[in-house]
Amino acid sequence: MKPLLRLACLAALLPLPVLAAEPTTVDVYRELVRHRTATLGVDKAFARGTRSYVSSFLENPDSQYSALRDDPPITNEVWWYDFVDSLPIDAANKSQAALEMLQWQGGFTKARIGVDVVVDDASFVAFRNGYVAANAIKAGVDADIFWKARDLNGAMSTLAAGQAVALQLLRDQVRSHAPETHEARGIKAEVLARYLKETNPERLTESDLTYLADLLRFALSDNAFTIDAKGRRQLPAAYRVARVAAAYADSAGYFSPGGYCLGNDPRPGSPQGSDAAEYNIPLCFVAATDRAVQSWFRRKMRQEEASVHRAHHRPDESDRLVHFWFNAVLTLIDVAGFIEFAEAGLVSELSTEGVVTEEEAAVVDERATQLSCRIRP
Amino acid sequence: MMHRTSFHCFRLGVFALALLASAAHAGKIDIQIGFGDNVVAMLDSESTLFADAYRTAMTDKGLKFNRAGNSVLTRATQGSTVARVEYIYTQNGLEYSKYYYARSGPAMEVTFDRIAHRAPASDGSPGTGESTAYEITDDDIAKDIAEGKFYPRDTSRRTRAPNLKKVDNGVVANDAKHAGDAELKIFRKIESDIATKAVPRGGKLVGYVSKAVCSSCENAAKLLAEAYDIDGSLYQLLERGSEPPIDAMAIESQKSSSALKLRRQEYIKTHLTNRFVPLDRTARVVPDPIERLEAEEAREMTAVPCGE
Repeated sequence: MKPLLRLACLAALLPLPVLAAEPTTVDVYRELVRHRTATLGVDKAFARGTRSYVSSFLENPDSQYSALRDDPPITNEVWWYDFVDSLPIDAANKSQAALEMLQWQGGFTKARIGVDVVVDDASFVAFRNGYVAANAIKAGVDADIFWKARDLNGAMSTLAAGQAVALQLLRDQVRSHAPETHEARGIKAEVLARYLKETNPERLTESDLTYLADLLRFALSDNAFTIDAKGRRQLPAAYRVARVAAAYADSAGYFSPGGYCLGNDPRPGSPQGSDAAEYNIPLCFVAATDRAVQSWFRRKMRQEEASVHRAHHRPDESDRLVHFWFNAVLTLIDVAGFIEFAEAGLVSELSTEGVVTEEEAAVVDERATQLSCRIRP
Repeated sequence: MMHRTSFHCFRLGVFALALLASAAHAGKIDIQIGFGDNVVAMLDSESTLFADAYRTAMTDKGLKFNRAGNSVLTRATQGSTVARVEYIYTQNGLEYSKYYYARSGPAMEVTFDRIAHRAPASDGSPGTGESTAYEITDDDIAKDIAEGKFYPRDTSRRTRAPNLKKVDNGVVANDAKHAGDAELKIFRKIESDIATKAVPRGGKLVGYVSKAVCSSCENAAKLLAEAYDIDGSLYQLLERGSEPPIDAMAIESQKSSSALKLRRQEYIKTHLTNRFVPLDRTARVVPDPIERLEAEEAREMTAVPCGE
């Protein structure tokens, strides 16, 4: 790990622009949907789908390690600067800040040490490995929560990742709101305390796990952009869970000598594109985009879900809960990358506000329904 | 098994004793305003359980409805009040909690019958499937209890509160039209659990309800608190337009209420009505195949319409 530590220390000294200033916390994607709806109308604003959107940000949308496009077409749109000017972003280069936020929200960024994520000495020690730290830090999960969820879920790393993010959501809520308002807000600080104190997974209660599942399910299906207790932007919940699962994979080590990374890049000769996906080979996660990690997560989750069923084993309540987590919560991560669903949710809100008519909202909704039907006929 | 009459006498005795005992220290359940994402998350989760119960029951019975039937079904599911209550108690020096969840209204079978017969509600208006104008019969109560098979199995820590047999004493609604309210069902289930010693008296209650608590249920909360020395709070979401918001908390509560409505509407729309998705709880549920998802992500051409 010494080369990685050197990489982290060196990167901390470099004046990299990405790490130079705190990024904006304006929900640019949400504003983009609103702006396009208002200025272009529903027909034009929602004419393109996920593939087109991804292609406009990534050089090679088929590669897990694609670089960002230098010339994203969105910044050449005639309405772009009007849109940027309308945003309450406090930055010298508002256009760049808005673009970076769209790249972040869309899952187009990576977790390269010292480039996308600062891994300081303390984090390196807390997460025991630079790659683990980079993924977990990008997911915004604290080290104590990260390890506790892993310890209580054993080989079920995707389940552990879901619980880790749910616990972190809860911790941020506990820290962000006055204790006297917790009960009215449904914030149960005691659930977090009990989980972190527990050493035996059998003693995790059904009610606490159901509560955590509720919080995560809400976060995964909500279109709202969130910030943590310190006011820092957070990734969409689906990418956070995927990144934590990637960190668990990196923490467990690999049979492949040297792992799948060489520094911040994929090891030369390691499978890429559809080859890596088909055989569910781990990626060099820090070099992969959030979307690629999410795509890997979907396969990993299915692999783990299938292993729950044991021969001659009669399902009990804990099995029911595990399947609930897989089939009712983590499965929402499947569709997190499709803009059709996110846009339908946002337009539904606009319809409630009276900004678009019910008929216009229905058009966008039908597009999502059609997609849903093709995915889950 | 205890004879039914004996059981009611026993309940009455317990309730009388409880009231006497409560003279020394009466509990109090406050009705307060709830708000925020977590309240929406919890109540939406319960709403999903009830919508899924309809899906499972419809699959089980082989039911499919026309547009009018679906409309009744949508109102019955979307319009019902949902509640979740945690009852926290100490036993042998250890703290435990039990969750109760409920929705307002009669058994699903009653809704199915209404759709089949298009029966008007008791106030003469077309049947809506909602609980507020509906007086529950003993037959409906038996159906509701029998429908337990369509819900997740009750455990010692989490249970559905169905309509329970009518009683003259104890925690009862003082307005028969509210006998099927979600929070009342839960109060009565807690009372029943105390009577059978499933949980002890003297615990703490923290609950959330998707709509404002009616005066009948406020009275029932008072009865429960005083009879069984229960303290706690019941947090209600305020619906937009129900009353003018008097403070920031009320405004937040109304926002949460709207957010919950939107989520329930979305789930029911995609899982229960237009394109009906059956749900068979006995079948092993597996995540959807990955290939279709990946094909959609890679799709460059306009997709062929689906389900036409």
